[in-house]
Amino acid sequence: MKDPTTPELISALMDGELPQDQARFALRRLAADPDAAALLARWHIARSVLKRERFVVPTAGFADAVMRVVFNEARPRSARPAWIKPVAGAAIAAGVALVALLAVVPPPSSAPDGVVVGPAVPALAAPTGLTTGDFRPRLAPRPVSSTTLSPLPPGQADIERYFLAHSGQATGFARGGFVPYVNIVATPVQPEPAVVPAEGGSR
Amino acid sequence: MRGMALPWVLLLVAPAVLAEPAPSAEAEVERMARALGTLEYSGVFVLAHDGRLEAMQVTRRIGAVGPHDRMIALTGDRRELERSGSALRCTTPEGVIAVDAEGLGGWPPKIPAGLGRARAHYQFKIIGAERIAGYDATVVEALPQDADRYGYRFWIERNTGMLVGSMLIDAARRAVNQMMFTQLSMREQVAAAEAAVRAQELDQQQPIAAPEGWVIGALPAGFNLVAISPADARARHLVYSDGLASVSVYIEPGEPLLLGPARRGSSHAYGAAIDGYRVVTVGELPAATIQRIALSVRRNPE
Repeated sequence: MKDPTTPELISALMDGELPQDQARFALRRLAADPDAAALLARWHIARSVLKRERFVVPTAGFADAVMRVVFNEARPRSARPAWIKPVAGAAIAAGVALVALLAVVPPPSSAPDGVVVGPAVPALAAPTGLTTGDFRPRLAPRPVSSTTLSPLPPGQADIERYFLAHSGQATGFARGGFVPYVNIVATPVQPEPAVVPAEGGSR
Repeated sequence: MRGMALPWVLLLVAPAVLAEPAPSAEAEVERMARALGTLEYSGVFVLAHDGRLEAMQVTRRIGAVGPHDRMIALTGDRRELERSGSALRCTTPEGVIAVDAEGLGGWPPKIPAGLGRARAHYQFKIIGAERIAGYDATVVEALPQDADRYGYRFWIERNTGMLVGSMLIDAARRAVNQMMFTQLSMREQVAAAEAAVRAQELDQQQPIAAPEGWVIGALPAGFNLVAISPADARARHLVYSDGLASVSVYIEPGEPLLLGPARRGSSHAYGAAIDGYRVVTVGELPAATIQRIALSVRRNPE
């Protein structure tokens, strides 16, 4: 059988396709080959990013502990149930990834439990204080009146009621239907400067 | 030879003679008025006014008691209007306002069969065709003969007559506001239309008696009284219309709640105190017209 190339070996390790003894041999080979270990780490990081997974940067002792659990050398083969093999394969892949990361990412100062959570996968940008109103186009500036606007009159609800009642009546004429409601819904009541009549107050 | 030519000439001109005449601009506006009063529709439209854009959603269903309308502002503050029969309810950030329009009309709609007096005070013209919200529309312009009222441009959907876009135009031919549907679905409510619509010429209605004791002197030409609150009502609500625009005049005893002008988009209001009564005029007319009408209200000395 032809010896697998390093990329083929790493790929099989990451996918958990190697039997235990071959996986052990592969790990020893990776441990002796920094370039191969670095390649494994890059592939593992790339896969984690694509899957948007958080990856853990373990301390040095953690990898050894994982290896002992994964290989489980003290447990007789005959006692293992059939489903252990794929699970063990996946665990080996995880352990391999951890070992590789150790080789390229120096572990930060560890917490008492021996594991420190590394930088999180970039999340969505935090919400800003901008609102939709900031993006509404100001097509033309409203001219500032040279006269003083009258303050909003008291009893605004009563004034709103005049507009509302009128809209209810106006729906029954030629420009009816929904049209008279538009001003009611679109804008609140606003003060306006008085218009100086051109001639008296009445005809 | 001459006898043989005549049939050919008739054949050539017959299509033009027999073809239905293109609808007039007034007829298009009448179709629009009928569609607004009888169709069920649901859609989203944008409104450009005061240099801003607003988006709104509207739904109209017609039932036995009248229309059920709902309009919601999709931008800015949450504002919503709901109408069920004669009951109107507006929800705003400031609170809820409710009125009942029963007794004054509004339903069934008074759809003018011939635009009545509007013909004398507006010049109607078809100015083109455009496509709005996926619908082919005829563009009709109605420009006033005076500065007392706004002009209009209507985009009228070809098949149903539904208003799919509109523009309010001031005396300087500037757009006061523009509305355009971006999404619209319609359904003709035939049963309700047949049962409820009273198409009538506004000027052929039984004339409505002016309210006793009051005279309104400065109404623009062509505005006639089209609706009035019951005579025993303490507060009088009078509605005048020229066929396209309308104005309400409220006359109520008591201290004034509004003194001077106010507006809501292109709708203006003016409040005055006259002989112990508060007078308020409201309508989609120029501010100067609304103010003049309010200040012209007088007690009838008779």
